[in-house]
Amino acid sequence: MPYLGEFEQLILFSIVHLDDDAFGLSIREEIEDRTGRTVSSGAIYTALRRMEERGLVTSEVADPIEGRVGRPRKYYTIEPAGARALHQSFSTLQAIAGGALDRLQRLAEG
Amino acid sequence: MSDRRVAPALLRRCAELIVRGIDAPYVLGDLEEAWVRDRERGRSVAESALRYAVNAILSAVALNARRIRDGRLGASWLDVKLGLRMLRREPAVNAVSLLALAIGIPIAMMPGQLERAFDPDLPFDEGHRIVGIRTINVETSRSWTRSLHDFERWSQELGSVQLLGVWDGATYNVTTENGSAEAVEGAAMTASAFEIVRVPPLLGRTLQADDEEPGAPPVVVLGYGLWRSALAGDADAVGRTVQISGIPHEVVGVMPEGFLFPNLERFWIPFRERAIDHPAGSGPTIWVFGRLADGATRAEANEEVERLRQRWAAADPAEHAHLRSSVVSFTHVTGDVAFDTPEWLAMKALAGLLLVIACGNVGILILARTALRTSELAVRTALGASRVRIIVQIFVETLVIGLVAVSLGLLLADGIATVGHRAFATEIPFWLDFGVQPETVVVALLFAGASAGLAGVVPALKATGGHVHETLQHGGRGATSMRFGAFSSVLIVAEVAVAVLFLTFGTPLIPFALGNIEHGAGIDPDRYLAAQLWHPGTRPGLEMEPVDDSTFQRQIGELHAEVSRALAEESLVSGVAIGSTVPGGRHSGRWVEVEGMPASDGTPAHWVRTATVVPGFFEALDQPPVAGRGFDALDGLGADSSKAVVVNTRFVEEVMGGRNAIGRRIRTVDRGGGSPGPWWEVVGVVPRLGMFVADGRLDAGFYRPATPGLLNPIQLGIRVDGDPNDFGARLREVVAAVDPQLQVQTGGTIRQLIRQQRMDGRWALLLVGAISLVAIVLSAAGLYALVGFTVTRRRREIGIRTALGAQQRRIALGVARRAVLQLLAGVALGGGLAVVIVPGMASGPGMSHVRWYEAALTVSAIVFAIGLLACVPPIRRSLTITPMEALAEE
Repeated sequence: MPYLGEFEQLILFSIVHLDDDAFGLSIREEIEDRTGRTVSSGAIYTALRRMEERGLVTSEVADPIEGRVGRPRKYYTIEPAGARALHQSFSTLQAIAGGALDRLQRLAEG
Repeated sequence: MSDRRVAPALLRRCAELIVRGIDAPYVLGDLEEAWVRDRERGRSVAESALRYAVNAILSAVALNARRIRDGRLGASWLDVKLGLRMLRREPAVNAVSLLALAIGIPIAMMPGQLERAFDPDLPFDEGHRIVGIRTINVETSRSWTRSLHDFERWSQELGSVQLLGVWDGATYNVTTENGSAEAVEGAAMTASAFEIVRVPPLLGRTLQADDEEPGAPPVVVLGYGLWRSALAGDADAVGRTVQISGIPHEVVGVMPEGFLFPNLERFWIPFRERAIDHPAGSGPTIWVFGRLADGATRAEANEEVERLRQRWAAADPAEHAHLRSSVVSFTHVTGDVAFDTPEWLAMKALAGLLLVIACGNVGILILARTALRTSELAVRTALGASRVRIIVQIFVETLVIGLVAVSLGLLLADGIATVGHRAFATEIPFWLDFGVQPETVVVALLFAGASAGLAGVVPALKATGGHVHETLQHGGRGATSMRFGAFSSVLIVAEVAVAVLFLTFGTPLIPFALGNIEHGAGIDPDRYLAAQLWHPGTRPGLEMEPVDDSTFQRQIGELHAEVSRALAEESLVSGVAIGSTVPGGRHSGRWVEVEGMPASDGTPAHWVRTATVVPGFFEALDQPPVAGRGFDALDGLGADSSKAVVVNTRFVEEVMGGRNAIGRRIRTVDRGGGSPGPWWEVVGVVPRLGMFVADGRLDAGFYRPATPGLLNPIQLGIRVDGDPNDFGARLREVVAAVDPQLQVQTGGTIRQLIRQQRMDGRWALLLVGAISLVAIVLSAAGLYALVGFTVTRRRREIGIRTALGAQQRRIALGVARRAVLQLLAGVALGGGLAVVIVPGMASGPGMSHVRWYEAALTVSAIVFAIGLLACVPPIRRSLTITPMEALAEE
């Protein structure tokens, strides 16, 4: 089971939250709104292409809509393999972090 | 202005250029959709553009990260490093290139930047949704501002523009409780304006609808600056009283610092005019504005305004059929700045041409440098580097220069904008921002890319076009098959011609901008205070009794006389000269003829200056007539019918040939074919009194007596014992005591007045000088490069000729022949164009004295000398080549 990088986890969690409205721009806005982190559309699509090649997500090109100068949206759906990989990667992180958050807080406060 | 929900086409094109890859269509679609969302959320155009550009650049890098790492994009960081190394290795060549581009790019960008400066988003919450409604009378093609009736109807019927408001601005006298007074820009404005801009007050409240009711107590909202200057920033300012044109107003609020809506206004009083009080189609001058309703676009608002107009016109054609109203950007509500005139378009073309010339010259320098690397390039080619790879390397090296130049150019442009803004801050609207904007940065980057293409790729194609084995066979330092072709010759000739043309055009500006002209005033310029006095009549927002014109004129005359008497009683004042202008001030010009004396060129008319003065003007300046008399009270009382005229000594010399002027008759003429004026009799001659300080040769002029009250405003030249600037405050007190509605503005001493006028000439000289400097530097650099390249290429030949005993003079001539021919061609072309074009461009009665042939000849000689000097270093280098060194390199 491949371990997902942090950025890949952010993208997959966003797809889960967005359900059937997950395309490049909405994913970017979801990440920016929830994490305050600025990401580029190109980075998101590059990461999604890699994950699609590994079977973690699938994509579907929709018809062009107004406001995109004739360019279509590309919607993404998380596959079962992707959900499992995300669950495992996040669980791994939780497992190593488990119980350490309070101590982490105290260390951060000095 | 296009729909702001669509990203600017320029941004989109740039993004399409750099965002590449299989996912590019989706990224580009997301960029467009993000733009729309940003604008709907209230982000300004500038912020949205910046976010668009940053996302596009980062996406381009992300989509091609692997290719960049592998160098498969054709360029790599190594090329950038090589480019930076080149900057250090050849500082002189690079300095010229940087200078050319750093000056050329801001000049080329300036027209576009000016256009964008006049169309900004207002710096308020959703400022881009604040619009104006402008009405034009299609029969006269002029703005129609008496729209009070329409404003009230729009307020009731217009749905796409909410919160409509009006304003009318003017200059008022503001006097505080302690008696200090100043002339201040203010506006009578509807209370809705403050809701439209959504700016809360710093103290107290803004205007309310109740304040606009007839009979409501006069109130005022002060701007931050006026609050500080008039009330010393009193925290308890609310409730205090200031007098506005003599009428007490209670201060109800203070606005925060920087609030100068709608343009430069520093206080606001209620707008109390009602359409019911004026017949249809009449009323006060007003400007209408509002905020687009939620979801409405300007296009929809325009459609609705037009539908209403058609309905009103059908019901009342006399009132509306000839009017057209449109919803425009707020900054255009008072009129459009003409950016589509032939003159403006010509200036844009000229600015672009300058950049093309700069890029071309940089190309010559890059070509010369690249030519010396042909052996290196041949070796690289032999080792497997493709032509494309080498061209990309040279392109990137040039791009590095271009990007450094763009950075310098943007800093220079922003610096100029900052200086200009500070210099004119009190005269330009607060929303006018000449600073560098995101679109300007994008355009500048495009220019850098284009410059690199023009200046780098073309020489690179030339350098890599030859056969590898031939180049390797030639070998030796400097041996190259490359030549400077016709393009480089044309470019150098063009640069020299441009330098001659612009310098010739600027020569009349030099004495005005740089000379010591204050002495031309004819009086001691440091002893007189220059001031302007006027009565504004009715003011917007103030309840004043209207008067007819003749009564107003009589009142003005009495007030002016009262001011004169009051000033004469001041102990520090020893004279008050009153007229349409003062010595050193701007005097209008007229064509005149003298009975029986044609002009020197055979035509009957002479171009001279003129002024209208109150009797006692010359005596107050301590410059009594040198012949005949000045004006007396009888001349002043019946000025229209008076036949008296006084001329100055320059008029007698220039126009009358030194003959006795007393008793001669002159009259104004209309060279456009209109009827001449009545004959006037010369009753006196006075000394020259600064009618045209820029050039004493154009100082000839005449004076006419003023009718009391007809001059409004009047100019005062007040002779003061002591520093005249110290009398300014006292002058305002004296004037306010006569009538608080009188407005006075001091311009400092006569010397300061002249210097202020000269600033216009200095800015023009700066611009012309900058362009000329760029052209001269480029042409000198091009000639230096050309001669240097020739020396390098012919090194072996020069060594052999020296060994065979050739004279140094002949060697030098041979090396420099082509450059000298180009120089001669350039000055001939530039000088010829100067005498043909410039007199027509700089035509006007005031320029007829300029000897353009002499100016063109002088400038041509100077430019020729500079060009020759540029050729000296490489020529000297050619004379130091020894035969042994030249042959040993084989």
